[in-house]
Amino acid sequence: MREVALPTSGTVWSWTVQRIEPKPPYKGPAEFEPFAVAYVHLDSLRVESPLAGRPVDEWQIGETVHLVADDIDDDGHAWRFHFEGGEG
Amino acid sequence: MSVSIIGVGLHPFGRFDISGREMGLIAARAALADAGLAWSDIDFAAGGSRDGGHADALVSELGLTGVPFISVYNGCGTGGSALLTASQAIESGAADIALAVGFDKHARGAFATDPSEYGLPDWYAEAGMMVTTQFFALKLRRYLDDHGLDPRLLAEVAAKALRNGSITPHAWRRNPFTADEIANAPMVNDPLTTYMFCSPSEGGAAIVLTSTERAREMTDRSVELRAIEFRSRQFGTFEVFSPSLAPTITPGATVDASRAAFESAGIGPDEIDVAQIQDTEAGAELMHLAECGFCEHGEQGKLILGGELDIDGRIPVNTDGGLIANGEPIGASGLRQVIECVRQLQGRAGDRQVPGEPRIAFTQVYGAPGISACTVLSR
Repeated sequence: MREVALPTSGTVWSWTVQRIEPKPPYKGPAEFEPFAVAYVHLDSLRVESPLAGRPVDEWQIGETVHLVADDIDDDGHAWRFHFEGGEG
Repeated sequence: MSVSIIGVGLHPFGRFDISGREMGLIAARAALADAGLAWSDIDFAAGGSRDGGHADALVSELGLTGVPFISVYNGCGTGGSALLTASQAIESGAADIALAVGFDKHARGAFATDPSEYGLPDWYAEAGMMVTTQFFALKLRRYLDDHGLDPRLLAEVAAKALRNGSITPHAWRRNPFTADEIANAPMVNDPLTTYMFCSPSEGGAAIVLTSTERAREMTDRSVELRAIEFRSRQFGTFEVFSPSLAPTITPGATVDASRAAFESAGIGPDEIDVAQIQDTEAGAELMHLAECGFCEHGEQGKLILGGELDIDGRIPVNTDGGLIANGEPIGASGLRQVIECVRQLQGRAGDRQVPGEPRIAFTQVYGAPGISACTVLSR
């Protein structure tokens, strides 16, 4: 096992919309809001991630998206992340 | 030694006021009665349930005969594992007559899953990505795009399932819907609407097995289990609960299990007269048809729109409505598929009987975390 630095932008490989609130241990906003989720192609890996920043059903396979890290801890790890449209 | 089925029993699928164990018992007793045997004749049993209790504890009611009873716990593959275990006991000569049983009773709504049970970190589920329905949609959208398939086919597949379910006494969903109604129903995970999914449900199923030689002495309607093959995934497959995927996708467990089953039976997909295919949602049936070799990838439209999968079609699929009309009691679901094929081959399928005396049948289950069990059956 070794660490590999992935690029922070890639392309949408597939996507859907989560329209029903996931069961626990899902931690979302107090009032559930549907969100888009994708596999983002990042050269050597496809990473599953929420998508944000535009209406949930307006994504396209093949379009460019970039990483946005949320909740960064003291060691610099982001345990929540999402991708947004464009190069960033 | 070849293995044959001499008795089948089902508790209907749906929602009921009795426990999962009771449904398992009812199915087991029905299978024994169908075989004309008593529990004391069984010298090996295998069974499983995800949420309905311990299968081996059924001996409390069936009878304390000391019979070896193996409980299995393989997600959607539970029924397949129970049947494989029982069939191997016959094949090896360890047992003369064996019972495979499965039952379940699930909470309403999508399955809740604990990430640690799959070796996954908590953040994956906390972020809302550990959702089975979401995986199906992600896999399906890419598949439709790769093969230029019309999402309208999903509504047609679900309409077929509900049409078949409407004439099946053991099915849960008995109301047919048109493809338009299905396509226009509320979206769950795009492009899949609520009527395109199966739901967790309740039910029980049991099968009695013996050697083919013995079966032919006992009854003139036995069905031979020509092959049963179980596979787990290899590196690079696209499975449920995957925080990341390899950059190239390799064929999944269904491809491996179905090929092995056809090879072991010496029978090809073109010889199958009736099949039950895992339709956890409409897209799964679409993809599994090609993965099992019933058509090329991208050629499903002709099968579906041409009516070839209908009960009176060339290769009837999910004749009792499949998972979409029956729901999925995990422990029982794979056995229900085999039982439906047995009844079709025996000419006992009532209003949904495939015409022309079908002789060879096929079943396929698929489930988390990337497993498949397939059977080939013949009369």
